[in-house]
Amino acid sequence: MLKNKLINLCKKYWHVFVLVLLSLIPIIWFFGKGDAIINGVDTNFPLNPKLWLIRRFYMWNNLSNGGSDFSFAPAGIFFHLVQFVPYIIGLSLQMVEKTSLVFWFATIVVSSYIFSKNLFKAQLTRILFVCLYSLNIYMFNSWENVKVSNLSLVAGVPLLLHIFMGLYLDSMSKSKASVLLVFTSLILSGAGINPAYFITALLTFIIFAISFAIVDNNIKKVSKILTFIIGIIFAISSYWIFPTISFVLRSVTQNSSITSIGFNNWIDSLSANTSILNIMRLQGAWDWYTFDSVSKLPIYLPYVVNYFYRFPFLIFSFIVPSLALISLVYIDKKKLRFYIPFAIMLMLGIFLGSGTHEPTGIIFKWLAEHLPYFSLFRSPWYIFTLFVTLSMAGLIALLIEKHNNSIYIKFIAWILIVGNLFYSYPLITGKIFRPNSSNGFFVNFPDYLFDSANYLENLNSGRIITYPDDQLEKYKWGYTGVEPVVSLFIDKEVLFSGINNTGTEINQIIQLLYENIRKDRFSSVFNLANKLNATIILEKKDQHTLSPELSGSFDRLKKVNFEKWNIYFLNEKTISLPKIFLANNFYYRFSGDNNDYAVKALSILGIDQHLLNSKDNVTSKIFPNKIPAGKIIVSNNSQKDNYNKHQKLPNITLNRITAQNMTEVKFTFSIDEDGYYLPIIENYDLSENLTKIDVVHNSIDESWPVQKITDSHIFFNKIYLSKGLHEVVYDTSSNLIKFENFEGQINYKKTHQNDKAELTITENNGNKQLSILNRGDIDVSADFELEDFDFNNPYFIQLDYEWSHGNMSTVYVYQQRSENLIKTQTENLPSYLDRTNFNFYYEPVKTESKMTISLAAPFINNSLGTRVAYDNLRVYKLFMNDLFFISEPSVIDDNSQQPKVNLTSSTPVKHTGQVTKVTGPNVLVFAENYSPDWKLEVTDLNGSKIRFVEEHFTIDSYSNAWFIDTGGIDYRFEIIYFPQRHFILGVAISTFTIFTIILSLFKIWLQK
Amino acid sequence: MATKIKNKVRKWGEKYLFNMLILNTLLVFMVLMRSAGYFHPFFEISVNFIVFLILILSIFLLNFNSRMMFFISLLFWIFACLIKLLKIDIWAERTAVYTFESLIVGLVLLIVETVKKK
Repeated sequence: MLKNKLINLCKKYWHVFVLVLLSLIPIIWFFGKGDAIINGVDTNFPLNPKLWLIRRFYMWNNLSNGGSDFSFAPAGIFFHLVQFVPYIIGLSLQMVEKTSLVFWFATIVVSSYIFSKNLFKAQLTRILFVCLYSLNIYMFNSWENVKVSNLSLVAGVPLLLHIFMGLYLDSMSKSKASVLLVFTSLILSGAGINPAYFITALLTFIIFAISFAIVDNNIKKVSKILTFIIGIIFAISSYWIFPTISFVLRSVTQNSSITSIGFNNWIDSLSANTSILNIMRLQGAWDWYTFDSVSKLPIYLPYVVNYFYRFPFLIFSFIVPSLALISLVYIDKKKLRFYIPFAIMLMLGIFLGSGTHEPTGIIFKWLAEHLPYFSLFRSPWYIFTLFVTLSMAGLIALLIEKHNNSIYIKFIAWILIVGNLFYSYPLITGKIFRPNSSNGFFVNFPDYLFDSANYLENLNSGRIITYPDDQLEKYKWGYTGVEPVVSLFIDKEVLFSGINNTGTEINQIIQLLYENIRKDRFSSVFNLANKLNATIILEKKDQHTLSPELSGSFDRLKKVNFEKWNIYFLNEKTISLPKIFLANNFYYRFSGDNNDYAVKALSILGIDQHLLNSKDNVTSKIFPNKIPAGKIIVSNNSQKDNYNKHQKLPNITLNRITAQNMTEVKFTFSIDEDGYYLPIIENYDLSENLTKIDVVHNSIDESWPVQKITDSHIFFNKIYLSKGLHEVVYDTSSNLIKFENFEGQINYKKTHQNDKAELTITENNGNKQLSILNRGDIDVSADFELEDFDFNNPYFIQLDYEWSHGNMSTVYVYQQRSENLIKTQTENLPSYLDRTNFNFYYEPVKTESKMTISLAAPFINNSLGTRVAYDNLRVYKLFMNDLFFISEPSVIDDNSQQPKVNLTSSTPVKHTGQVTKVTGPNVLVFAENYSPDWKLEVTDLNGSKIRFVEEHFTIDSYSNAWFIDTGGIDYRFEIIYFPQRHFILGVAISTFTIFTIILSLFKIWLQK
Repeated sequence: MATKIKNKVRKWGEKYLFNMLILNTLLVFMVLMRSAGYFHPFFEISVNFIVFLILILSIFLLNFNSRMMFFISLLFWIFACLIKLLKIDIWAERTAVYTFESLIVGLVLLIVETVKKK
């Protein structure tokens, strides 16, 4: 009896058992992994989910590189709420992650099952649909990176379709639909992080609706339901839709790529392998096709070799689309309303998922250029393949359902389910996280990370500069990230070498700071750190890096050690600026068009000196008419300019055969007003005991006495400069190769010399030269190792050569550390018979190493061999020091009468405070990245608004500043990030909508 | 079953023999125009275009319906599978393009047939 009951129960609810098992797949991923967490690269699992959830409520992210807009953040609130709940009840981080992953996996499984109930009567068909939809190779990447947008889209779309069908078939009341829409909106909200995914969700739903309207000729009903559903979704999702729309309208131009918001448009590289054949087999992901050129093995995903070469996988990849096409051949007329939308989605998914790949790519490109905001769909494979998976799962299930009475069809269905499980084995077993690879995602975070994080969190400090300065952080204990690992679990502002937004002003200042750290120029380090509001350097010695370690000079700073992490305090030795302060002593920068030079001016300015942009229209209204301002003139450095220009030129011979004089550097600049100016030169590679320098100024020999030397700059006595153009010529370094013309005893190493090769010093018309004749079967060269190699500056290499016959002469420059080759540059010299000059630049990798120049005669397969003669080898280290001229402001403020700023409250989007002891106009500085959306409101101490003309401008290259003239009245200020108001408005609408739904439900319940 | 299919195909063939002749003539004509470079560089008569045009013409000349189009799409796909297994990737990709073209034509036909019925 009991046995029969159990058997009946199993027969009735076996599908529940299957659904539960499928939902628990993420648990399998952690088998045998100890306490490891899945994290790294694009997978940002927060180590403090509470902090991450709170951040999502602010439209400005102040934590990374001076801050940036964060309007996409609210779309992630629900996703991070799912992590927050288990975290706050005290579960371990791994359990938090497991809970979150199981939640989303279960949501996808359950939502697809709920949707399938509308289409299929048989449980087997429903389970088949769920398996094909939830477990497929398109989902590999979504789970590998735990992509919020993807997962939300895949989980939310079936629910949306279920609600539509319920309303259309009158099997669901509006009140029930409203409640379900609340949950669906929350599930779908993650798709709003990338609006393209959310639009795709709506498109899926609209395609279904239109198809129903076509088949049943019921446009009116469909329109009503569409309006109802979209209206409620938009109302409930207002909290993230409003800020997102505001951001897109502000930052994305209609018909361009989205490089305007700082990301690389990589659509063409993503579409390289999205042929129709690959899309239909769901094999369009770019990282599937990245192979090592030597070993021919995949670089990122070891399992792809199975899909490309193993027969069962190849066959199965064709079977699934074949069954979808067979389904279209044998359409069940009673369910035509489902076939049409699935067929449309299949067609659209293939076309759009191909992106710019031939032959449909031409249409895609046309759409990107002509359809407003179409370029938001910059990852077409990842966005549109949902259409393909949903439609194929639906069509195959419809085919099985049509012939469900046949035992053979049921058998085929089971074969498909089991086959699909095997086919998706990387997703089930967790191999998508590459557990046995050096690029794996299973990470054990060391305890000292958490210890140092706790310490930093409790510090009252400014921004943290992380070091080393790699764009990608790759740790010896396994984690790899594009942003600092500390951002995963502390709420401190961090400065680092970003992989995105590399051209911004603040990123240039950060790079300059790193350069000065490497060169031990503390004075510049402190000046730049002050401008960046940075008070700490966090040195991580557990990171794989080529950057040199911090020198022993940093031990002069206060240091706290946490095993492999060191925390250095910059503000122990000097006063540091707060984030909001009143500025005095301003200097205009004049630097031509080269922005790089402009940023360097910051390294000279002390704590109470600030830089204005001479090209800013707003500052010219204030300075010097209302507030005095000095000048910093940044001269052009000819060696640096030629080098920078050369880097942008094509790599062709024409750019390498003009001889250059590298024994002097020319500084050119323009003075707009006669007066006395203080010359300052960067102190790098100059003599420590310098008392004067000799220059040629406008063709007149001059001698500039030194006034002061710091570790970063040399200050000279003031000189008089007249209005107009000036040129200062300074003799620089000599050739680093002694006896470059081979007249003396020159040190070099003969490489691969053998009895078929001759390397000798010969004479030609009275000149000695290095002759190489190579008749062997291996390259022969003369190698010159540079003494005192300095990796901080580029080098210029110049030589004469005379080619006689054989292979092209070649010069190699290589950098190595111990036996490891770090960089090689190969220059093939054109085969001219005449004596020719050839020159090029070499940019060293910034790491401790040796540099060698190799003059080679490559082998050739003929008996005459290769003959070449080299002469006049010259190697110069470029003189990259900058020369500045400062003119002080007419009045220098010594801070003694400075008003006081008191900050009363501070959130990422709102800072309030008051300024007292005001005597006149002042400049309030807010040291976050400039944005016109930062607004200032000023009231007197009683709260009455003070009206004045608000002038908002940039200061110190990146910060916000306001000129405030309250007529000498003390005042309160509020600095607000305006887009936050869009979020608040959205929250109000969402809350009101949800409240209304609950109230109407309550009313219905009461009536019943 | 096989005899039934054979008879059906023979009857159909007899009915549309002349139209098939027209279709094949057009096909050969377009191939010749392509090889002679007609309309180049203003318009390229690519193989994809020829296949697409033949599919469209077969609706009018051979009275193909949506079911037939999906069947042709399936045939192309199976052929693509066989070529892929033989590791002739470039032809497999091209055949998949024809699969897609047939799919598009079949879908449009399906929608037109549905609307017509209503």
